[in-house]
Amino acid sequence: MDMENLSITKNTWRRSVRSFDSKIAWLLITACGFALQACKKDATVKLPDVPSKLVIHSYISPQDPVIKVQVNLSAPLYNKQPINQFEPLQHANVTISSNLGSFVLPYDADMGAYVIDSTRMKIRAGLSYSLSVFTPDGKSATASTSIPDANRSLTCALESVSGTKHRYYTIRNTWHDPPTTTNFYRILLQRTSYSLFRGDTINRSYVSSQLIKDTDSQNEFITQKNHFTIIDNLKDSVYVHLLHVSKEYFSFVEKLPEEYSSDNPFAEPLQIYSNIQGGFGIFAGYNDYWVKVAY
Amino acid sequence: MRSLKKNVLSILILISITAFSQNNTKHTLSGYVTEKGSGESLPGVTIFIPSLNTGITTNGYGFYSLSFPTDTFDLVISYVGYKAQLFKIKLTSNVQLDIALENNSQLDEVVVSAKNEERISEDVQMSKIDLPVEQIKDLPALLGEKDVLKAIQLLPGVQKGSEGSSGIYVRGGGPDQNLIIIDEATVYNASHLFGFFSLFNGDALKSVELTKGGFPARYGGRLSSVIDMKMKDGDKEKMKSEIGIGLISSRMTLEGPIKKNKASFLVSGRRTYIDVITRPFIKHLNGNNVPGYYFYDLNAKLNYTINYRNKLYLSGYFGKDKFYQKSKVELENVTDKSETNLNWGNATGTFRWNHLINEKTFANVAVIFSDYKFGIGIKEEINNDRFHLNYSSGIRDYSVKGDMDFFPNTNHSVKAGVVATYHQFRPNAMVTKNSNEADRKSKTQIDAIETAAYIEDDWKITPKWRVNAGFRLSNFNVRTTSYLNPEPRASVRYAITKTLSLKGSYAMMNQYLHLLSNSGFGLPTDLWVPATNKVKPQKAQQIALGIAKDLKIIADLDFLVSLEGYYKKSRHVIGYKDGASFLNVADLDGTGVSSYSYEDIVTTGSAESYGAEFFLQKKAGKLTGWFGYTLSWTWLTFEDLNFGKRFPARYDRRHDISVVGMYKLNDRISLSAVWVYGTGNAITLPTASYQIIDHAAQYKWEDVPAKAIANGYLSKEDESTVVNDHGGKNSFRMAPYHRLDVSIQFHKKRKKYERIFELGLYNAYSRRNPFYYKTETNHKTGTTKLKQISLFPIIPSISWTWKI
Repeated sequence: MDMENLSITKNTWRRSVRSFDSKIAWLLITACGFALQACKKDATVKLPDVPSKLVIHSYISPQDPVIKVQVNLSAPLYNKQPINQFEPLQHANVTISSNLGSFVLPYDADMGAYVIDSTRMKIRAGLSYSLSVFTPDGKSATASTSIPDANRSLTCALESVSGTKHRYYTIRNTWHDPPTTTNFYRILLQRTSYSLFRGDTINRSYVSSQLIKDTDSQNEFITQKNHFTIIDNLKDSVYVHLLHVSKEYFSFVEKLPEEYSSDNPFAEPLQIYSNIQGGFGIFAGYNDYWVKVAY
Repeated sequence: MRSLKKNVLSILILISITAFSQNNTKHTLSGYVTEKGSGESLPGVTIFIPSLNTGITTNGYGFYSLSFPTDTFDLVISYVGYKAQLFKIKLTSNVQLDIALENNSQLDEVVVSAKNEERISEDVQMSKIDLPVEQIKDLPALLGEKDVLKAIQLLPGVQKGSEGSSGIYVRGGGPDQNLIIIDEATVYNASHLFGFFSLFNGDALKSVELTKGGFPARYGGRLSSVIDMKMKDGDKEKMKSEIGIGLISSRMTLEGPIKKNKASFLVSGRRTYIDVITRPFIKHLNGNNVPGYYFYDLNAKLNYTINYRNKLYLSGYFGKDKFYQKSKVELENVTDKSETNLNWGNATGTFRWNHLINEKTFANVAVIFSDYKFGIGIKEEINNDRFHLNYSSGIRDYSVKGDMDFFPNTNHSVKAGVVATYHQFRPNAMVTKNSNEADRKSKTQIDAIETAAYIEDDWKITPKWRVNAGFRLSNFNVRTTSYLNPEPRASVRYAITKTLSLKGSYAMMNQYLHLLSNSGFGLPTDLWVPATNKVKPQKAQQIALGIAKDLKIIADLDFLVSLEGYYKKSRHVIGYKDGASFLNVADLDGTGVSSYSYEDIVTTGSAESYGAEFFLQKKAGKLTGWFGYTLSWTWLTFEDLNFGKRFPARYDRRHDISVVGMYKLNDRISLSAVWVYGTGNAITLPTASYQIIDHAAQYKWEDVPAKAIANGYLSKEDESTVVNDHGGKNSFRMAPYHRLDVSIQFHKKRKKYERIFELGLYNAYSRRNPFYYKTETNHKTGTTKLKQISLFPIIPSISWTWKI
């Protein structure tokens, strides 16, 4: 057996130790023997009777060329009907209002969402926006958010590069945090991707994300580091986006699961945040400022 | 706070003035109460003087002391399960009166020569229940394994956790908030086999006492309850043995004199043999993959009476659980041998010296050791490459303790003491050995010192008013942080009539240890960690009000009735942040760097519990047992959980009923039955599923940066996640739990031995009680169903016991 295989095996061992939770669960099950399986039956308790609710996703910022609201429905479990495939809902009445007026967003079949151009409806920092969604069959949901100021104090520096074939980059980002208010941020890193066929730039892809709450730091300046790996050996740039986000935005993204699993009966389930009254999802404002860093 | 301290101080001064300023013409009657025939000391025996309507109970070592002016009076000595005795005393000088009480079971028929004067309405202490060990041994039990903690679960105010679990939830507090002590040594993990059996089998125990509120100042360090167990000393007069054979384990107890009436010993052990029985079958089914499991426990005690004033005791408990799995796989020219084991166990040791300073003052000094260890061992060999991993975690305590009982006169009984404990917390220690790399070792150890001093006085102010006032000062030092907390305690009794009294109590408690528990099942992986500067000590305040009545309907039909209400508020209790698991704390990849600290993955919050408990107990006669009912609420509030809104605790149990009956049909046959009912646990259940989309998805796969920000292509499946909605945290109730256990015992008494043959049924009507729920989706129809998983259907058991 060569070294590589051995190290794979070792990793498997370590993984098996690490997945100790499941091991314990398995031990419990073994301890209870066959009785356990024999004792599985349909639950006889009264199940929660929940209606299908509106699920709304809309992130709005002054930089958006279009404002978009995605609407679909939740699928109550334990229903006789099969779960729907979360198709976009097409016949809803979607309205966004602010001091600047109310706008009804028409449905765009290509995007599968309710969309309005930013030239018609302005998103401005400091303003509050409210969203309401009605459906012909009587479902409704509302939400509100506000737009933070853009934080243009971001400076970025490439701190270290290591590795030869695969290069590991560390980038250091610093910005000024207004001390009198509670602020929430998200750093998103994008880099240019290359087409393998043509060898030229075709798009950007996001490589790293981090959420920052200013209460975690006592300093007036927040410094944060991002790491990313480049494997294609082509030099280009990364785009560091500093999103100054609303509290709703932060609360929602903070608890988003990286991997969602509801299999372990002993684990406490994750509760997902929502600011949608009468539904699920998020309506959140943010303000984007970005810096390009060449490497 | 300052005024509180001042008040407590003035109360203490008042106590000492009144306690010590009595005139000295009084005489003292003192001595030890023991069991006739064995010399076993008896704690908690009532010494009562009817003419003065006053009395006292013996201390933990069977000692009592009463001081009066010269007088002649009757003395009644009574204790449940023992024949009461009446003495006529003429006290003209100090008298030493040692009393030997005869056990009812030693009598051919119960002759009541004196009235039992043990009264619940007399005692100032509330929220305390003594469980006669003999009763515990008469109760039906799962697989016939008699279990102290499961008997305690049947008392009002105490709830069990999951099916079969020996975890104890007292007045809304978690299993980590119970101080479980055996001969003064703390037991950190009191369960065997993932909580299905507790460590204590009863054969070696003399007394079990549960306190769930109104804590006397001598106890501290936990918020919710004290389970104080005392081991038997060992028969001082003759050799005795007891052998029990059950379905999954056998036990044996041997006790007797080393030197008659001077020194004696007791050894009691138990071991399971599931592994031995099942090994051939498993080997047959699994071939080279052999799993196995066993546990054993051992109690041992030695005692030596130097003279009347000095006694020495040495006692210990050792227990271990081990789960192992061995496998061997041969594939072409590769041989893969592996061996995995999980093992955990407690060891405690207590050395005590009783010293009678004078007839009014009793002192005890103890040196105590306690250790809990959990370990994982993995050995794997692939051809000639070896990989070994050893992981362990645990806690070890070294304590020194001094306690004093002082009985200045009949109206005061003062206890005072100091204790210092050196804790060694070892959240993880790891060694990896690898034939291709250098060995790796990592170890985390946190040391802490916990100290406390206390004083309490049981003061009979007037015949109607009686107070137990106490004060405890506790201190905890860890790293550079130090906590100092005053803990005032008080219990008051007002006797409305001779048999009816009102009681009230207040207690403040601090707990400097936290239990990181993944499941609340009492799994061996549960980890004790200290409070630190980041994770504060838990703190609770509890008030309780109650009414107690001794009820006599007709002769030989005595009942104790109590009704209590309580309110408890705890702060800095810990919970896990969403998605966190304490297993992250352990550095399991062997890099020597733990990426998490438990301080980062826990969140602290507060707990509020209140409720009422009704208890009707019949301790003597042919029919004994009790009825308990608890109505309770327990709420938790954590800033980081349930979006800061309060939610019911998993074991928030609105109604909890237990009916326990033991009936002695005749000398040969006795019957017992237990019925329990409890509101279903509060759990979080998925109710709907929906799709969520992270904003970052909009930053993926775009042509032109500026436009890319907005025109997210969001319907792509890999950019959305399907999640479940659960309503509120713990907003769903499991089906109620109820169960009937019955057993019948056949006693056969011979001249040289007694044989007991017991048949039992656990869950007699085979109620399918829910253990947990899970959802199952039928992928063909797309429908989801909720499935209930139950553990134990009706389980019969059979066991034999021989007492020789």
